[in-house]
Amino acid sequence: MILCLVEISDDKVADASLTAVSLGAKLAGENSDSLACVAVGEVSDSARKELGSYGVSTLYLASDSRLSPFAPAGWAKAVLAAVDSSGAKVVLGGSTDRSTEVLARASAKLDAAFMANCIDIKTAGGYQVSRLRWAGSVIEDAVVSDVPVAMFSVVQSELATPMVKETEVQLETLTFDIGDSELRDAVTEVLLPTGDGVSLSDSRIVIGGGRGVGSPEGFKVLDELAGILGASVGVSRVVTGLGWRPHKDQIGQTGTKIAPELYIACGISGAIQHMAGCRSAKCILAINQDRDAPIMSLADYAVVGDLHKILPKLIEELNAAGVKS
Amino acid sequence: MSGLPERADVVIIGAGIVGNSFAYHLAKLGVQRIVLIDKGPLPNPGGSTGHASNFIYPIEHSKMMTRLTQDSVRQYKELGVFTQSGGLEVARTEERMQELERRMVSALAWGEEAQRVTPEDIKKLVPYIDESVIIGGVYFPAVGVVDSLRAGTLMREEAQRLGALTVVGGTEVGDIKVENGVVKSVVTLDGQEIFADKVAICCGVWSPKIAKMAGANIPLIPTVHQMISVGPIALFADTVGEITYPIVRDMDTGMYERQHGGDIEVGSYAHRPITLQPEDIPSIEESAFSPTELPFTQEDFDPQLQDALQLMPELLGDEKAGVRHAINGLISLTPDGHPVLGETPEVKGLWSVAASWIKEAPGIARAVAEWMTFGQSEIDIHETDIARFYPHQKSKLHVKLRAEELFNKTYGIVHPAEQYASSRNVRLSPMHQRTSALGAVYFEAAGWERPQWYESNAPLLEKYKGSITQRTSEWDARWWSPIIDAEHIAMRENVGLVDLSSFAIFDVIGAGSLSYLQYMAVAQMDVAVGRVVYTPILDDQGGFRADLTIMRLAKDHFRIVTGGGVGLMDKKWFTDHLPEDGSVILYDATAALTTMGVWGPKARELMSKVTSDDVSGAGFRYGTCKNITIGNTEVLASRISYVGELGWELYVTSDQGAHVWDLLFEAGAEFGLAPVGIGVYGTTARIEKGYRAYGNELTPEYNLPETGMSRKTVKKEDFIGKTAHLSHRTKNPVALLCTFTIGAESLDGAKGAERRFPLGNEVILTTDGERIVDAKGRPSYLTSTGSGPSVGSQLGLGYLPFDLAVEGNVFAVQCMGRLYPATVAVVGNGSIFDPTNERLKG
Amino acid sequence: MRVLVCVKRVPQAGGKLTLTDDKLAIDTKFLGFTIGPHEECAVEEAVRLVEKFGGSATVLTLGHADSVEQLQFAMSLGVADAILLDNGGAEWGPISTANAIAKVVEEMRSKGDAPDLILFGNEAPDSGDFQVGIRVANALDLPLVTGVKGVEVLDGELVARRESGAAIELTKVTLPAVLTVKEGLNLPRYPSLPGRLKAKSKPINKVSPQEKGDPSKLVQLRLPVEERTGGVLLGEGPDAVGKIIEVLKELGVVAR
Repeated sequence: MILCLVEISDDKVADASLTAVSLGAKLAGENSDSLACVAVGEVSDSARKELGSYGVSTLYLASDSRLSPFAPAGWAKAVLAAVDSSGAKVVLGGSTDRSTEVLARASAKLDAAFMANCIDIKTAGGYQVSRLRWAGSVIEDAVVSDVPVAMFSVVQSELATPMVKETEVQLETLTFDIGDSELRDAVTEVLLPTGDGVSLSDSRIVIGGGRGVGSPEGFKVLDELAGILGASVGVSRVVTGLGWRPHKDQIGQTGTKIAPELYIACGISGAIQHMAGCRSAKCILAINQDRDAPIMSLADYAVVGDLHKILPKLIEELNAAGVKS
Repeated sequence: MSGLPERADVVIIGAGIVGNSFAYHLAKLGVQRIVLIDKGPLPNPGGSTGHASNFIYPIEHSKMMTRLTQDSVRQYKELGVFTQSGGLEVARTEERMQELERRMVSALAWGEEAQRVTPEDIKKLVPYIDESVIIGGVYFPAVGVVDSLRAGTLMREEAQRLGALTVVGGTEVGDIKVENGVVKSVVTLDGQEIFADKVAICCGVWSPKIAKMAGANIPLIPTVHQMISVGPIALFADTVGEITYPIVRDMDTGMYERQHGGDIEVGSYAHRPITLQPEDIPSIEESAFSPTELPFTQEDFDPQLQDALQLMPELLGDEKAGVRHAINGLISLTPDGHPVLGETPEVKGLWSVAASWIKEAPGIARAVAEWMTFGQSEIDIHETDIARFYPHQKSKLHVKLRAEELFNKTYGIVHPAEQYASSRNVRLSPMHQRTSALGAVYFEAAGWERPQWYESNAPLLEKYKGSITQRTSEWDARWWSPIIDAEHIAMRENVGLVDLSSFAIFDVIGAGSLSYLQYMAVAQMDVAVGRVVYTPILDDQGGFRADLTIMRLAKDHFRIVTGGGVGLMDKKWFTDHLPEDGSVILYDATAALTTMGVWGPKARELMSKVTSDDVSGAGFRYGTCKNITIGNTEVLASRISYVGELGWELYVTSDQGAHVWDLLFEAGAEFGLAPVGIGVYGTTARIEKGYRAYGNELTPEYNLPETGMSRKTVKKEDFIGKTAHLSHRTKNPVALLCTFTIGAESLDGAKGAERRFPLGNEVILTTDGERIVDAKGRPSYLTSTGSGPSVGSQLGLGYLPFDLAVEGNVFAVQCMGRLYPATVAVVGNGSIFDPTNERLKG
Repeated sequence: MRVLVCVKRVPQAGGKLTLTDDKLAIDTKFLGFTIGPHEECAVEEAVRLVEKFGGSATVLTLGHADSVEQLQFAMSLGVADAILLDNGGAEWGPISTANAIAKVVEEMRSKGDAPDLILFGNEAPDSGDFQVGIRVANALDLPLVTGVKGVEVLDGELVARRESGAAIELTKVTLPAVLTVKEGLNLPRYPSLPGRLKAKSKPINKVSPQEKGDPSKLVQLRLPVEERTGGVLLGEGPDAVGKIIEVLKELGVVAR
């Protein structure tokens, strides 16, 4: 049995979870095994159907309200209960913060292996795993010996899209004790966003500024361009380190990961930890005085020059053409 | 990405401060098709220019380096990138304070302002110094900082504006093609080829790697110098611009501190030397910062933290000020501390413009551009000629050892005669065993171990003590011995034997050799076989290029003898001018022959004892040479003398040098023969005779009449520099070389004060302490100095403006803060000792 | 307050990583070493908590003896002392690492020196395992909050703040507790010169850890094939603006 932890919100299964499910389906198919899922909270019919389209046979559900919105220890216990019930040997999850934490906690309890950010798993008397190091700049190939249970978080790579093998998803309710251990570090309060604009990670267009911007005041021209294009402004780690902008604006391995249609990187050299945060952008346009900065050979389009001369001209021409966000 | 043109007049590899300046100056001189290539991005390709601390102290003991720096500052100011901040050098020890006094003398010599300051003065200038830690210092108002990246960009853009320059960044050179010893083309890693008449390597720390592609050797080594940046500094929060407070050099601790905006940058030359090979420099992508900003090694800097905190306790001790940047920065060091410039000896058309600091880069670039275009430069840079290096000096091992030794001397107190400790005993004379047994104290020149004086002569100190002047000051007596004076007297009284194996010897052979040498030399070369010609060698502008003797051994066979130190530069000069028809060959006989000198009133007696050949005055005239047999060995004897005594220079094949030495030494005992070192040969004896030395008095900066060495007539045959020389003869020389006697008591007459001695380069002033400069702007200073035991006075040579060069005029030289009288004893050519040359020509 | 902060020595990378010939590690020939950005914030937080509440902080690392460099860095910021688990620089998996660290904490507890708070970085920049802190919390049976970007301590209780999408989640735990933190928690300070000097004489307790053993074994590292290999140079300077606008139109960012 292959078990997948899935996160469901607003009646939808999270994309990250579906990535894990699709790998689960592949493994199940390869090993003539069945595929189950575990979730905490509520699941709608549409979500169930979505899971069914991947060939999920069973969904283990823990619905105790005390586990919501997020009680990681309790969620881990739910996973362990599902492992117990299903006899699963492999547990997969999406590489979200939540799923990663839950699987790590669960594997800690079992003293089982947990490997994060896997891009491929093969089973053959043990596991051959490829996973990401250095936020994707290096790939690790490893083997895991044949252990009773192994857990993996899965990240989008060259995986297949859903195998349409429509199944009927059986619902199984999980019951287990929920006590102090499960609740002592549960989320106590959720503060919803004040709703001012689109977040950096959700923006369709992002403009990034790095050391080349030169100063906090230098960002004015980026903000202006962002206003015209309806974009968000993000920064490199150098900028936050200098205290010019807050960390919430930081794009990178330890900041926000973005996947916009267009990322315009201004005065950013392209250190690997920054590229880790923006390489999922569909299109990267880099503007830099340094013709040979690392980002210039990774970008789809490059312009060599001073951003403080190029951006004002760009803004001027966009304004002249009547472009507004 | 690059779009390289197909052809260029000059390809410049490297767009740091040097490459950019060089392109600019070539363009200004009218060079048309210049292509500048760098593998990195512009404006900061990641070389040393990008992280340099960018401050300039235009004060050096070296005249050349000072002039180059002064010229660079002028250029930086013209570009508007120079910010004057003033600079301090502080002393924690008495020894350092004395060195600062000497630096003030040099500053005065080269025309730079310098003020002695007390700790209280220093505190007013830099309030964050703890003045209780220092005992004094010197303030140089002209010190400043430059934006070297901006300077490079401006110069590059100007060259582009002149239409002379194509710039190609992000392009890496993979090969340099050479054909028949001439550079042909530059090939990039992506396969593009550009044909060029000349290629200049301005690659800083990468230069050896690039040169190797062409089969040439640029001897420098990337060396680490640590820097940290600390901030924010509360005191600097309200200052505007890059720098408000003077820069501080805390030289006793090998450190400097300079404001940089809101931070203070602290640099160190005190850590252990850390050198790299150019192949070990990372690429741009592999570096966390840049290829010449390597990861900081904390343990190497820790000892300096204490020193810095001690000097600036509140500023650097502020716990809120953090180390925001720290690197092991890479700079280029060479085996002798000078830049490496000029056409490489290995490949014609391939030029090296390497190992320059920010502070002299534009000046160097201009000089080399002039050199490349005209053959000479306005500022004399002959000391930087890449041709100066002997093969062993270009070896990686030698370069590394010497650079490591030099690194910690960056702010060191270096005696003018100080000897290197590393890489010694490489070139040994055939007589080395003998001289060593005589207690020779060896000084190294061109790799040769040369006896400077012999400890075995110590008993002569007692014998001649009336004529020997002791030096009581430890500094003046360092790297010196009164034995030198004793040897001098012994030679002038009896006879001395001198090991001269460091001479460079070139045989010129072939049907065209006479006409070739006629063209090279000022003197008439069509002389009888067996004549020795002493001749200046001039450059196109009539400045001094070399100073050597040429013997005619046969109709088509000549032998050139020149100093070891300049040997390879002279060799390149002669080789470059060889006729292309192959009618002349030049053969380097240096290792095949060794030289020794026998001079003194009893030299003839000694020689008569060891040879049966005719050595009488009539039989062996002065200025002639012939083969004689000493014992069982044939020897070429030449009757000339750099010490002004009767005697001979003897050229012996190396295998039998020691044997001939033994014969002479043994036979000489009865005549009171003493082994005599270079302390006499190169200094005391020759200055008494007023004989000039290349590099001291004789440089491209002064023409023949100014040196006082013009002959009565000029030969009708053409020679290099003839036109210029003829024009120099038509008017009074702007300056004249004079011999001075230097008094024992200072002008202020301070009784009982310790007598100080000039050691070289001391400025010559009026007795009122005013600087003396000739109409061409050249300052007067002692080009050579030493004791004159036979005339009972300290002596010196130096140039004076024509009107001041009058026998008997009194001037002053500054030694350790006091003025000593310098009286003109000889104007122009002439000897203070044996002025009619009786001893010489007898 | 007693705070224990755990760090890991990692190479400080530039724009490109190269592998050793045996493909088992990153080639660090040109690289210096550091701790990850999350851990820099963890160390800073430890120092701030001690500044505010008194007590002391200890920094711990497991790795090669050269990791002393990283311990001294933390101590130069104000951490009082250090613990080095010297494993000769071998690459240990998360189970072994967590096990060794937990043992050290148990040792501290038995000596009456139990930490009130144990801080980790959320994940190390190189291995990115995301689990050492979690396993340690499990072994010590302590409450745990991960991905922390805000901390407030009051009367033995700690409120941790973290991001979940666009929302902020608050979790209140009773000390002692374990936190794994993320960059953005604070703006770390730089070491001062006096801090650096003091660090040199601060004590480092050296321990030889036992390797419990992880079921996973590294076969090799490899560099991913870069899908992006450099595209089009649109031009230089403001003259390229026209081309930029064309691209914007092509992408549908700007109406045609």
